[in-house]
Amino acid sequence: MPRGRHRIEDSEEEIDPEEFFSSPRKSDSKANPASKPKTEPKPKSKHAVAQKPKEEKMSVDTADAMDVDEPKEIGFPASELPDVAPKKFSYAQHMQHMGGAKHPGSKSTPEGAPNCLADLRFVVTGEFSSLSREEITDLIKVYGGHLTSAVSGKTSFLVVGGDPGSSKVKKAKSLKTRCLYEDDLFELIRSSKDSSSSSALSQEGPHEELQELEGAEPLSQMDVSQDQQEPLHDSKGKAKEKAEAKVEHHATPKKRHQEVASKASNVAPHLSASQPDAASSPSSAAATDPSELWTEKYKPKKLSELCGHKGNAELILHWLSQWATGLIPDRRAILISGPPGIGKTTTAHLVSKLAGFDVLELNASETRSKSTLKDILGSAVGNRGVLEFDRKKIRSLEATQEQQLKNDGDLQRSLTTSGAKKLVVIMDEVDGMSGGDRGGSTELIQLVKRTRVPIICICNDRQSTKVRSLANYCEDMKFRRPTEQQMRARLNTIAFREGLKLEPNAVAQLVQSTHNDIRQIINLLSSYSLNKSSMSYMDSKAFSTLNKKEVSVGPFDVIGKYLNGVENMGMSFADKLDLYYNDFSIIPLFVQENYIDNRPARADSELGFLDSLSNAADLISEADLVDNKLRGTQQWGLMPLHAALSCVGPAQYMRGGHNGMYRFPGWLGQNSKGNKLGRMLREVQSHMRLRVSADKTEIRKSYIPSMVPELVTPLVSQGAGGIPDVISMMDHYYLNKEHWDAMLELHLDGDKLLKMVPTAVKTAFTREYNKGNHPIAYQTLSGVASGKAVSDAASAASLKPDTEDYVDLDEAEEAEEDSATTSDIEDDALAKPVKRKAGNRAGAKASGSGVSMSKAAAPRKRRKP
Amino acid sequence: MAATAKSVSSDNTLPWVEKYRPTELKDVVGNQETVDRLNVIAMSGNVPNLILAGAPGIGKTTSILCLAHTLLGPTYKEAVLELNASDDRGIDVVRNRIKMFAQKKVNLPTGRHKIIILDEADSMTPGAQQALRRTMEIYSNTTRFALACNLSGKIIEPIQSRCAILRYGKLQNEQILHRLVEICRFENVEYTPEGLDAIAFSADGDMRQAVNNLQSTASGFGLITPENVFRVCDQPHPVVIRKMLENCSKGDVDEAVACVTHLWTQGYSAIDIITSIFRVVKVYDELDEDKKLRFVREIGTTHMRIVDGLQTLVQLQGLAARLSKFALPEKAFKA
Repeated sequence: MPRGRHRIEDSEEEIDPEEFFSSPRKSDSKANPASKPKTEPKPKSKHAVAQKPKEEKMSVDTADAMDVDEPKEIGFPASELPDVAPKKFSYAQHMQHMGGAKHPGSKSTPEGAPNCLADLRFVVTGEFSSLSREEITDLIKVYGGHLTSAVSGKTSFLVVGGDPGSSKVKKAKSLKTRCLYEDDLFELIRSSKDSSSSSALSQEGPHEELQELEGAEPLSQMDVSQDQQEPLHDSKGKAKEKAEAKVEHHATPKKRHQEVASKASNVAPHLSASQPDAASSPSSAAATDPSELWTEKYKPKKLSELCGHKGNAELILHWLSQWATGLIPDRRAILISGPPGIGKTTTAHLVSKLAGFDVLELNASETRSKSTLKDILGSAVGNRGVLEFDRKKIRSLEATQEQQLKNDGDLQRSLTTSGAKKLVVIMDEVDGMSGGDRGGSTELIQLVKRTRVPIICICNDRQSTKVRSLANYCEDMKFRRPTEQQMRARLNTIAFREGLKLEPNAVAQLVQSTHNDIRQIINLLSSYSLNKSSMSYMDSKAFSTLNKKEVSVGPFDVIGKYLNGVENMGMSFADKLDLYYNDFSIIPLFVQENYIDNRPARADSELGFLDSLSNAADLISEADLVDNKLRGTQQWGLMPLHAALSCVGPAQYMRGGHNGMYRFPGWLGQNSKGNKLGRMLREVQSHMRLRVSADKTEIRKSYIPSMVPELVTPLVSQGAGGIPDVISMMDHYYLNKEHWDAMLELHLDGDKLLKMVPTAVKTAFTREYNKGNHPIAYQTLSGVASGKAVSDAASAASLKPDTEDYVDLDEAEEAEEDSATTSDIEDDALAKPVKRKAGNRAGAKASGSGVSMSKAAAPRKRRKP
Repeated sequence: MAATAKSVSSDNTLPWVEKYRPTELKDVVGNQETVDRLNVIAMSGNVPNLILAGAPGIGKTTSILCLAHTLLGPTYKEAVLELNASDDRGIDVVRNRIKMFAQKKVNLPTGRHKIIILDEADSMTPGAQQALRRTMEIYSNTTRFALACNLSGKIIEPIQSRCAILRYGKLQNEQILHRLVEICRFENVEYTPEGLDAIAFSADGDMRQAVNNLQSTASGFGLITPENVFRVCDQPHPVVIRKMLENCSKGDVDEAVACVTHLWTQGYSAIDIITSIFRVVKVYDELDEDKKLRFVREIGTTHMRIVDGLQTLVQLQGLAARLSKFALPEKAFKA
């Protein structure tokens, strides 16, 4: 890095600073108003502009330049930048950068005219001497400049610091982008002050216009072809604007606003979606209650007022219109998912209204248990109570109903509750169905399957278990966070109507800090406007950090904070202790799982790698002792100590870069696997002990390794012919088929052996085993046998989707009833649970019917001593 | 002494915390910026949905009550629903009681709204919070919510996105002192400045605790002096522990042990002393990270022993000695 820096400094001297271009911006506004007034100095145009003789030294005296009214171009072409070889990422260097400026405060921060950098696009690379990188970007944003992350044809300036990024430099060279050093940037800002004082009238007005425009039609900037398509409108509009701006330099906000609106509709008709209708809405807003919340007041009232979600809204509209014609689409429900505050509910309501549907909304503030859902929605979705009918009757009923419907061709008549009105059901917050809403989501799925009215479900967490099963029956629709561009116009409108002055970069900052949560932004603006009337970039930054949403941190975030060198260094001991309390049972496991993959930053200097590891491991093992005491004797007072030893300490030694992703603690999986194997071993041993006298350890160590080959090889070598041998051996040791599987799993090479057995033989083996009678070691009332019976019932029930968390009893019974109707033994339903306990290996007789099961159970009751 | 206590309690039996709870926003101490914003809200009358977040005892509930009183005045009883953690606030209450209240019609001056105050909202279950979401929006024409909580992170994100968040910081000692002096004057309590300092110190930015401590010291001893304060607010004195740690990091075993013995003879239990030591080390900035970790480890070992039942002075003195050992050169311990 020092090398790179040197080279740049060298080149700084070589650079030809006395190069003058007449500024494209200037020439636009003065001489050629009809030409493209997007005042970004395009790299292409630069070459067209004549070069001025080298007279004045740059950065000496701008006043001269001002006098000639041809401000010199600040900066230098990218071709003068030295080549920078791609660097390898180095942690030490990274750390150095994190430290910020090298000589903070060595140069005075410039003051310029407000918004002097407006409509200029900057890319920042490298590190700077007097300001940290963040301060540089802040500086640019304060003066209204745009920051992008990569160099493109639109980039006005590349701000180069020491040790710049190679790719940016390369790109800048190929695009011939102008470059600035730190001082040049300051100069640019300072000079603006002079120029603005001299030519404020001609400059500021149009600039502000343009700024507004940029907010209003962001896409057109990116889309060059669009500009070309409508050059006429474009230039006309701009010219007109210029003229107006000159007349009244601070155009009244209203006027400006209208211009923005008309402008945008000229240039980008397809963008009118994100463009608020300036003419009609102020009156409607004025009519409403002044004490309304902004979020309600500015709730979109037409499709065009939505921020984003255009495509989705149209899809829903299309889907609803299908319903309206009387057709029932394949998917009878739509599942909308997305983060909070982006307008999911709003979109759903708005679209329903537009499509002419009445909305029946059920949200988390209503009880949504199985019975209430049935009460409220059952009639609404054109359904009758299910329990009064059996399946066949329902089916025939449905068939006739459908027939009727087809005959009339009129869906609306069947909607009993809503009369002639069309109805849409909006189930809001379906992931919020909680403890009180037992069976709610299963019922919802049932309703979705049968519904005769459209259902729209809304949730935040698409991955939640409750939602996932529902999603199978719904059209999945993901709502994304609206982008800054999509929100900007809307926010500007709101701010304007409320008389709040909003800087363009302030909007960007708000969007960023709220994670594109438009509701939060509106709330923020609302509370900000209580005592202030304009918001600058810095204001918004301060205000939004004050109002930052605090989202609870998950263990993956916490582990990053512990093990990542940079983050860990920045925290105090007490803060690090507090992190542990986010989830004190799993975070120590995360540390234990991941610390070993870290490349400790301190390994190079103070401690060796192994020393660090051993220190950390020592602490973790000590923490385990503490944990044992803490949980064993309920000494919760030891928790801070456990925090220090299990997390803070190891992190202190091991912090640094991490190889790969942070892993989820493997201990949890291994632990439960261990428990399972232990349970299986216990089972096997308890059966075998009638023949052998050995404890669990011996079974595992001596019997299983020698028995498993005996139990498998006949099947491999003789195929189906070996089955009787195996079964007789199993009978001898009182082992059943499940124990056979268990023993294979307990054997180290079990998997390999199992693969050697052909599938046909395996199924034959199972069939054969189930056919015969086998001695049993003892009668169980629970355990494997009843477990098997339950799983049988469950497999029968699985004809019905039953994935809800809470499978309560009557649901299970209902499922049984359903399966019972198919096997014609409805009257036997009560006897079933009893037999489940009596019939030892219920699955033995594969018929699965209750009656035959009880018969089959009798001969098996031969009890061996 | 008894006489003073009596004269204090004779005219009013309220605890001082209640007696001197501010009733107007301008009397709320500290957090000027936040309170200013509440003032503006009170003036405009249009309350947004609010979340007030901050440590205990710094005036969250007080300021929201003041706000409600200012806004609603005589209709307070009808138009405010206040629920705190002592009330049942499960999902059913949110669905029934809160929703009913939100639907209720109350005659209010124009531009005023009913207010639902949910104190200690972070102790509400996520399910109950979910049920609040749409209620907040649907009835926003007539009802506004104010949630007070210690940790705003415990409020689910959708609710946070619906609210303006006001943060309360810890109070400055001067701000607390100012108020304490006022109360002392009203109550005719004699005090020494050091005594009030001690109260402010022991309260650690918590006004409620400060007032409570003041009242208990006043009713117990009548005179506010540091000795009396620490006799009431029973806690091994952090200053002594700090002194012990300083001595330890200097390697001065004798002094360190003397400090521990001093605490011991005052009658504190070993477990109190050791937890206090841990707490002080946690924020003791003179130690660098590694040293802190070593200290914590030693303290932890001793803590474990104490937990096992060895609640003896020797354990604590041993701890002081071992901590001092870190500061001494290793070869001093070789024969």
